[in-house]
Amino acid sequence: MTSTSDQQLLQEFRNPITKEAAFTMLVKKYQERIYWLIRRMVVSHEDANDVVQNTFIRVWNGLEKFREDSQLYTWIYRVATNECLSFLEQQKRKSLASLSEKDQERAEQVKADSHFDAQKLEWKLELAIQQLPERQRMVFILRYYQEMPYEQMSKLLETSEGALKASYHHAAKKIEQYILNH
Amino acid sequence: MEKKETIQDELREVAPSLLHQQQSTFQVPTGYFEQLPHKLLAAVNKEEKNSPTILSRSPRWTVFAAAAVTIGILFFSLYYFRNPLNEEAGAVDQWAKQEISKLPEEHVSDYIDNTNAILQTATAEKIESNDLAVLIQDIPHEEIKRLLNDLPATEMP
Repeated sequence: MTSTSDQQLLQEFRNPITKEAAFTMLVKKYQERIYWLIRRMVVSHEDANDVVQNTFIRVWNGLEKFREDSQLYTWIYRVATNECLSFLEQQKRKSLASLSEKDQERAEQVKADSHFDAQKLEWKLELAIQQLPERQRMVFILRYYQEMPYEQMSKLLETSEGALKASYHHAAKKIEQYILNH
Repeated sequence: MEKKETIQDELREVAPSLLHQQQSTFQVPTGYFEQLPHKLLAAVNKEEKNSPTILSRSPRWTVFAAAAVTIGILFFSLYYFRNPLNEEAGAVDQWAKQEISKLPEEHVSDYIDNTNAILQTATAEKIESNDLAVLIQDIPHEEIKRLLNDLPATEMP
């Protein structure tokens, strides 16, 4: 899919003369997909921006040592998902709110968006996603919005394809139920 | 990416109301994605300037570092333990020179003469004892033995 051009990016990144240009190209290539994955997980743009920046700084620091055991695409996604889950974990530790209260807080953040429209199906979908547990939410976003194959998701989240499929189906049913009830 | 039909087929079976809903809802500030690569580049450059140069943490480097530290400790120990003695000896020497310089010249001269005289006496005594050995070489052994037996115990060497 992107392996040839990723290979070229890697080679250029390892050359001090072309390193910065290669990094800029890499960011341009992945920034939107990474941003939207993170944004749907953390909801606020400010938080998403922080997590995206941390992700790409980690990519910069780790790319020279990248051993190419996995695809660059998978590795960048792994860095992003780890950063995102760590951020949510930190938020949980800082907050005294319970998990259900935290879900409610994120739902309130969705409703606080200036474009929010409670009648529109896509906004109901966003609210429903925030009711899911973090890992299940991640699986749903990767599959539903990013159209990631289970095989790739399995490498990324180090979970069996069967378990991911079950998790996605379960999430989709819960979301559908939420939409039908609201 | 996986074929869209596969994902849609899957949804059709599991949650049909979610079909064709993948529209964007959240907004992004204008120009965000255009500026992000430059912001990130500035951030990584700033981070590299602020952080000290980190040497490779390979095992080889660790061995060299440990060797350098050990050698450093050895040299420091030698310097630390030897130098006070040198300083002390140097200080005594300096003090003696200062004290001697305070003495009148004739006193020093007398001291040197006396010292020479003592040394000469000691040499003379040595010669005399050598002579004594020569003198007694002719005395019979029984005679010397009898003389030693007659001497009180306290006078024995």
